Amino acid sequence: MSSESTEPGPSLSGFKPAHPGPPGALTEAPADLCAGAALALIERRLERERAARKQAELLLTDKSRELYQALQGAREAERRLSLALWASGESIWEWEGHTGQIEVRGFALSGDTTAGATPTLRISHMDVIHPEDRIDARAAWLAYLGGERSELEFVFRLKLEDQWRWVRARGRALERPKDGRVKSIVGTLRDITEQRAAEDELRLLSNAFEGAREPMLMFDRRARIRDCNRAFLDLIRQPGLEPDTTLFDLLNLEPGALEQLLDTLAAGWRETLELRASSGALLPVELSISRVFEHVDGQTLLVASLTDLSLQRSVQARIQQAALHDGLTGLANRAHFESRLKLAVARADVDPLALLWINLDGFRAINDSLGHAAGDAFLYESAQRLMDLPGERDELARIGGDEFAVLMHGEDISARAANLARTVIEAIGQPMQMGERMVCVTASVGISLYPEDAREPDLLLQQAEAAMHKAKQRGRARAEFHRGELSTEGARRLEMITELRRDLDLGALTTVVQPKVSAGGYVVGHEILMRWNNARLGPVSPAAFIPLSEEFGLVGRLGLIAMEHAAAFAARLLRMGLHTPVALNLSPRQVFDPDTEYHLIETCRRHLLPHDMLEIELTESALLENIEAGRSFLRRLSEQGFKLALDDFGTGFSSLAYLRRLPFNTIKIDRCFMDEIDTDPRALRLLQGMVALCQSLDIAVVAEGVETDAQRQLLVRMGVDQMQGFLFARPQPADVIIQLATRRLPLQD
Amino acid sequence: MLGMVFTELVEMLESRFSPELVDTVLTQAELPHGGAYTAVGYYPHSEIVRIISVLSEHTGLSSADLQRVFGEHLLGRFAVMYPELFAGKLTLYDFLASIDSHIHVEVTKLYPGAQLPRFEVLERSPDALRLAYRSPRGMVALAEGLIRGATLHFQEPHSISHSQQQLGDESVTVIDVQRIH
Repeated sequence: MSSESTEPGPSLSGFKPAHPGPPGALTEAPADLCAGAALALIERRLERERAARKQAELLLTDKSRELYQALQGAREAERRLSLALWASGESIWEWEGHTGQIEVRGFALSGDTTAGATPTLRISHMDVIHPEDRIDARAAWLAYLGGERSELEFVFRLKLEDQWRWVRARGRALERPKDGRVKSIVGTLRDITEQRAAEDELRLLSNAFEGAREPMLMFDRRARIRDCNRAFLDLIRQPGLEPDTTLFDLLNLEPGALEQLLDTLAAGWRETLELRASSGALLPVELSISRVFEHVDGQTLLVASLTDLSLQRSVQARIQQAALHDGLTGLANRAHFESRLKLAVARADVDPLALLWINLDGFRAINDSLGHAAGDAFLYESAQRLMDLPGERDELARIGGDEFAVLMHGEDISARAANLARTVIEAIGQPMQMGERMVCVTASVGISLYPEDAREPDLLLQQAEAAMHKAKQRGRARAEFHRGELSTEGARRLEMITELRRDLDLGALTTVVQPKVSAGGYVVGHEILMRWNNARLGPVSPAAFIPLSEEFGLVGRLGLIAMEHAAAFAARLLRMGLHTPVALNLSPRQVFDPDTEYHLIETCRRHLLPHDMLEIELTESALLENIEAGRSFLRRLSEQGFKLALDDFGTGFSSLAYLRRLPFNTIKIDRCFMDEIDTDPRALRLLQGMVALCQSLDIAVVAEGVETDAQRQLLVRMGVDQMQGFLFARPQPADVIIQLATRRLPLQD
Repeated sequence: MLGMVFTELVEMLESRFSPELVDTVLTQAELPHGGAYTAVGYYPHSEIVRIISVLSEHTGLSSADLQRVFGEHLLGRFAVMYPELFAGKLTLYDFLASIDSHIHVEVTKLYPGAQLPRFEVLERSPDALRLAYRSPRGMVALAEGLIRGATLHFQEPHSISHSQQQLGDESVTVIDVQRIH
């Protein structure tokens, strides 16, 4: 190990050179000798300087050449880079932190095809970024600067030459110092406007394609099917297409002809061709090419829409008649009707005519409350109901918003017109299911007769319309002749329904109550029954007005009255400490009315009534319409705690399946089975069989129409749980029956 | 070796000794180009060895001492010609510690062909710095002279010594820079 100290450092101050010539010798030597030596020295120094200069010049030349070549190389590299960028559609951008500016080089719009021009774009304001994209762009930028993201990439709209272009920017910091402050970022920018537009278009196209009602196909020029929509599958009646299906499989066309066609197909092309359906049948279709576009895989795709010509042919026939017909209902329109009327009047030398003007009462309310679509649906349904009513020679038309007309020909025209008016009023009066609602509308009809009332078509129309207004004024749901005549039977029914409607409005319908008793004579339940005593018609039997109210859609209102009265009566019983149910009858309409359940629950709530205080009696016929719907209705009521009874058992279909499948607590055996049980052994055995059947199913039995003590004794012996009939009490007002609630029946005198 | 080192040496010798001595030394050294140097050229290291050897004969000074003197002079010239290399270096130690990481990086930008020695900081305390000197030329005395020039530039008197030490498998020249109070 060697160690050498240099302290203190060497100095040249005390230096004595070994060389004989000390400093300053140049001037102190003998003159001639010195002059020669000095000259030689100067020459050598000069020579060295010259040589050094030449070296430097040579070096400089070499360096210049190197520099030039390096510069050329750099330019070439830059040119290649910009060419490569142009080819890839990218531009280079650079951001300098101290200026805050972004400089984009070589930016060309994606449609620009020249590589030479490389304009420079400077972005220093957010203004050039689309307002909707600024937040995202800024967030991406800050996240990158802040180091939250390792890659800078965002897509935004950039304002270029006064138009917005979609661009994708990618970038990276040249270096990321330890203090985190990025000084500059370089990156690339790509104009993706057309790409996005193509994507958007494809997405829109795809949506339109799938959602289109018309059959559509997408295929390439090699006839391969790329896609088809639901409507197309429906057209060829197939659930889907095999993966390798081609146009050759689908079109009835010579392969050579199809190949030729595929090469030349362009947007707008349209031709009638035959399509093979799954059944093998050939469908005439018009195939038109609606679009041709490049798919991302480079293949040309063609979008074709097809029109089923077999359908169109019949459509065309319909269009020809459209001028004469109402678009909504398909009935003749007013113009057509009037021309027919004129024609009929002109020919009516022999035939008398009747003109019925039908107006739907309350249609406007439907339109207003349920909307025009519901109104249209209602009109359509009304037209359907009217369509079959007139005779073959009669003509039905829709002559206004909610107005229809019928022109009748032939003998006995007055009676037939009245009859038709009645059936029209009945048909229109039937409740109509509109979605979940049951809607009731009535019809008012005005009738004018040719030639009695008038001989002019216009006048006949006016008279019929005026008569219709008269019918409306007289209470609606009725018909009026221009001369004020109407057939007796139709008139009576119309009068009855008019009166019923009025009395319902006045709250004039009443109920009576009949008790049900146990074998021991104790009151174990009651039934509410509707009664109608009209000022003009007198007392009307339920057998008459209940079916009529069902026909005219009023039974729901009767049902509400029954519910209300039953609940009120049950509440009175409860207050007396009597937990005996009160039964009420529901009509078939109410079984299928979704509001019924709500009304029952609501009524109980108002009367603070437990649900098992109400018993719902239904006839078999109520369930016939739709056993499944009825079943779910009954199940819901049963789950709500309401008691359920099957009324008039044995009179209808008496399907034993009901007893098993429906949740009835009680069967009411119809009064007709009580007849002669005390005299006819067969009648007795029949009744015994029914009772035994119910008992075996653990269903309580109520015998209806018990009138004699002999019947009662037989029933008691059979083990019948409850009885109802005149023997115990007639149906009477609630105030009377409530007195019997704690008594044993029949009352012993 | 950088031509600038030769031209600086010639200029120093001409000013401190005499043009005649320089002429004699350059002539006797029998250099391939007659001792013509340009600052921007590169010349073999052997030439400076021969120049100093001949100079040593003429002056009676050791080759090492001559290198130290020249190193001290060279650093002063660097400070004049390339002040940016000294910018931001507040102390002697900061300067010495940044030779490899900063100064030589900058030198390479100016002279891409330069072969530069490496100075690795082995130890650093408030009053001492220990550097490992690695150079294929083995001119440790020149290095010491340069460091001495730096102590004068920063006006921080230090004693400078070197020794040969074993660092692992490697025999390394270690330069100790010790503050003088």
